[in-house]
Amino acid sequence: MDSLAFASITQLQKKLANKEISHAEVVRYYAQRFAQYDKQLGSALEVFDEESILQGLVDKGLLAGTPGLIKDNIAQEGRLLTCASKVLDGFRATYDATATARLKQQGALLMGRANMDEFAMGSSTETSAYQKTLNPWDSTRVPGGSSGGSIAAVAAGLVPWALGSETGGSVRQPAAFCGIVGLKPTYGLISRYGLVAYASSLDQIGIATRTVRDNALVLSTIAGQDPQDATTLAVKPTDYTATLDGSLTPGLRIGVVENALYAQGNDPEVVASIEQALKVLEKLGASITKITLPTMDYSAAVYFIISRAEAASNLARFDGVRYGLRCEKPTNLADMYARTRHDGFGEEVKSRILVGNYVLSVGHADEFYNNALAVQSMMRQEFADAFKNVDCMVMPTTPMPAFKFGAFAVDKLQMDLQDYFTCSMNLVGIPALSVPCGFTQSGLPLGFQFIGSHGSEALLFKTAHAYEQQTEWHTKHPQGFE
Amino acid sequence: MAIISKADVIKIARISNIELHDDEIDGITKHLEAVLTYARRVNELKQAGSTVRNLDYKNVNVTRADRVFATDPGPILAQAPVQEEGYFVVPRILEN
Repeated sequence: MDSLAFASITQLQKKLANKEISHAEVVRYYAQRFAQYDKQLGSALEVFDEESILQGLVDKGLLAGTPGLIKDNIAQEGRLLTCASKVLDGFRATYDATATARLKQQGALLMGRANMDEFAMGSSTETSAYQKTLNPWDSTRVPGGSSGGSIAAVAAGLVPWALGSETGGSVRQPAAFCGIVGLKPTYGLISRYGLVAYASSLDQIGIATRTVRDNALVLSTIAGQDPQDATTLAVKPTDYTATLDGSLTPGLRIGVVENALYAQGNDPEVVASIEQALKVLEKLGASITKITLPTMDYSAAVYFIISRAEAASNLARFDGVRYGLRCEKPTNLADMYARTRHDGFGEEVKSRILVGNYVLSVGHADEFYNNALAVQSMMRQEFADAFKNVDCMVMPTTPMPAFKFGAFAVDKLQMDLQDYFTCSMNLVGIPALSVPCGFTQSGLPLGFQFIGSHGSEALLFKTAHAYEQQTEWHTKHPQGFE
Repeated sequence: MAIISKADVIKIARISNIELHDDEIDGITKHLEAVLTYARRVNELKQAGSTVRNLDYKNVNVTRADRVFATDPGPILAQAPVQEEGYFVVPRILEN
């Protein structure tokens, strides 16, 4: 049973098919791993009891018998749904998110709720109102965020897959920090029905796994049009694993984004590891060209404005009226709103709501919000023009490896700028896949990302899989989780 | 000159329906000042004369059949802080 710890989905399903283990034994095994390791790691806000995980078991399907963790902003009917916030303390989801329902239909075993930054606002999982999550590779460092719990659980071998969410990089950045694969899909590929909204024009459910093939399999399970979410694309069920044969698409043209790779402040080990990765891709037959995307320099500023403006609107519903926290002894309705939201939201969430309402307010909207929308259009144009000459792009996922807890406690702007290399793709709506590309001298994981045009997930998976098969990064695991 | 003053923060907090205590205002003002100062660079491209041109796609509205179906308010009402006979109960709205 010990060989299951870091088994891929395929390996696990093979053991189930050969009747070497049963579904109940799978649940027992991984529940025991959580019991053994997660008190310290802190990846899960809750691990469900074994009986309820197996209730309504579907024993056939794409993910049959494979356990996973769901970020606590994705609804699982009857389960707590807190977004790691006090304002939703005790709230239970009254329906399944579409992604949750599709996972269940395909036999997945949903083990629990993953810790996260409060309302997905953060890059370290430090703003959770409930607990800290550690980086499995170095317990003095953050796992990244906001999907830190999901990613840490996968990296530590507590589950083979997990769902997170992306608004500005919240799956890819922690994936890079923890040495695993993280996908941000094309906007509209995965339904947002049942995903608690942060910034509705940017949010997408993302997928965390230890291998590219596993990631493609989970996407095959949950992607596709949903009548409950009018922003989903008219995409039929697709097998994203079909073309993963270890080769690149013939004639593949890869654009290296130079103003990202050689940006001031990048850790030299990040740069060196990506330069090595490019050599591997060249050897596989890719042609590499250097490109620049000047509007990327404005992407973080645009992201700050648009995401916070939408968040201010989306989080207005948390007011103590219908669900969640209500403050003690309110004197009138206005007092109830103001004190509930003061007591229920953490500092980061409050700050983002205030920024959001400021940039939308009279006298400031033109300077901030309307200009941000214009620059977002310019970014879309620039990426669209670039994709006329390249099939996919490569750039760092993060400027540095995982940082220490509290590193940005004083300089919060630097924490916000952790999204610098990831938020462009959310703003433009295109897919990006972060994969491991090495380790620092001190043993911290490094990652880089493949970026494609709208709907090019199959190409990204094929390219990343070919690279992965030529390297050993996906076979390395943190010590102490055997 | 600062982009945002303490008075601005207090006003925006009121619009946002978030109470701020006196000992919180300085810290939040400083944070907002840093974020807004950085965010202001979105003006630079416009000032440099960059313009938006039309992209080769258009947005299409998505509709579905206007179908009426029953829903059960029970599970939501059961989680209300205070509810009575199917209504969410809140404190008084208007002053005397």
